[in-house]
Amino acid sequence: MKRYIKLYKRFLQQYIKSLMEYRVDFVLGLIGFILVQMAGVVFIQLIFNSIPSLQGWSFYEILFIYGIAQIPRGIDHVFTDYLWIFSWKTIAKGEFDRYLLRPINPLFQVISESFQPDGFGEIIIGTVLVIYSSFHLGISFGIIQILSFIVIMISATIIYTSIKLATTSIAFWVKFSQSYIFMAYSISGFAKYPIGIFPKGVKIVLIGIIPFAFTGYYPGAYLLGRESFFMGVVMTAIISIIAFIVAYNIWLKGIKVYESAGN
Amino acid sequence: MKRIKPYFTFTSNVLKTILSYKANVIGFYLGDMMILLVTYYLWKAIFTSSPEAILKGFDFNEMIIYVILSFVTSVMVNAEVSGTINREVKDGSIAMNLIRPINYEKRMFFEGLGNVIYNLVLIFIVGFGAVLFLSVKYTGSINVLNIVLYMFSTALGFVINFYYSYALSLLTFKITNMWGLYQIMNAITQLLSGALIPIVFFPNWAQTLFNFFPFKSIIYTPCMLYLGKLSGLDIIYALGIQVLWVVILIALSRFIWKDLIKNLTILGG
Repeated sequence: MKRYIKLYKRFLQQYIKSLMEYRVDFVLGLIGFILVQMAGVVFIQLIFNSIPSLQGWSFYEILFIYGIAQIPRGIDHVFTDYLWIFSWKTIAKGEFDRYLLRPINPLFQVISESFQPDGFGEIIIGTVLVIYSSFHLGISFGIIQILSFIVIMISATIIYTSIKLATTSIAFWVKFSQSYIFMAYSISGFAKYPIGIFPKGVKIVLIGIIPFAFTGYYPGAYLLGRESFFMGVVMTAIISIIAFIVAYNIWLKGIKVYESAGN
Repeated sequence: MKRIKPYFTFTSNVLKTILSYKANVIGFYLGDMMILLVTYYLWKAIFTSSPEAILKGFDFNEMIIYVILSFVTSVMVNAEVSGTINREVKDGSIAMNLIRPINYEKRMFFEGLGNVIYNLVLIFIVGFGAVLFLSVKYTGSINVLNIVLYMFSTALGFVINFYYSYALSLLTFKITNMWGLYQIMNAITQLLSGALIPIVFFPNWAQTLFNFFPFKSIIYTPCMLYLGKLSGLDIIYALGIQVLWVVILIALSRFIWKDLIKNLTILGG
């Protein structure tokens, strides 16, 4: 473990050097992701110009859940963005062999390939939305809420990473898996809104199959006092552990069936 | 015609390339379907929460038609040439294009057309079929004139979008992180083109401001024409604005191209 932390630190140092070199790129990417998320916020704002509440949820409550959903998405984006590239390139070009040759965990090597500061755009906008809407709703954060918030963020990020890892691993069987990640990611769109507005089938998928409900709605609604501690925190943590175990096993199984595509 | 004929090869090449990634493409469209589904339930919740049955001139049925139609339109006008331009500028292969007796702008246009034909078969027929089905179901009839106007306006929308994204992609010559710039422009076009929400939902000052950008002409105009929200002189005015944007963007992209080529240095080869 110590060795891995040391390696990751070394890698980050290298990365920050190149970041300094391409400062304009960094700023453009950051603004880009902030604006993409802002478009969603503008949508909500325009809607609430016409309606007083969305099936019992106020404007600021919706913003709060929306914000909560952005933060883990951003954290995952910062650290595991290379999986996207892996999904269309690494297997298809036969590049996976070299990860198997080194005495370091292959998944760790893959994830250390890149560090994506664009994700800070999502983290920033999510944090701003959470603070702004808490202020308007008059939510006070006590010790329990702060601890819950930390557990929620860690668990929700793990859920994101697990879903991404599981869908990326499909590449071991079919070479290209980018579209599968995209498909799973599109489903995360449901998690930004109160789950009550969706029909039963969608709910079952979001809770039990692709558990995005625990990356936004349940934790957010718990902090708003509208869902239980059990659903918001305990279940989020449990689901994240299960999701990671399942995803990592799919990944390991994929490595077993992997046959090099190179020459 | 003779002068254009060689360019159809580019169209068929693009078609062949996408066809070889079928499974992948279908996955992406299933993802888009998910996003549409979220939007559908969201609007359903919005309309049930609203004290009035009509929001900014749209009833629920019209809104659902708008959501599907604006998605189908955004797919149809998608020229998707930026990826090719970025790659060719980055690896220097654009130099080969410059020494061939081929017009780069035309080549890109016909490659874009390849995408359109593909989307026409895979998405448009099904998507627009669904729109027509819903129209009949909700209103009991379809308006042929509106369909013709929609088709014509969408074709203009494609040309506008092509020249806009072509001109933007040419900036690859100057900017390295195009990904970031595309994200920024994507966010802006989503709002200003009416792809996310009909433009009438914006406050008046914003609607006035949007008139100074081409994005509204790409998706919003065709959709409003289909829904019959424009009448008489407004129709001619909206189509006139579209033609105006075609002219402006062609001129602009040719100007950028000339300026870039004059100062172009390609390293290596």
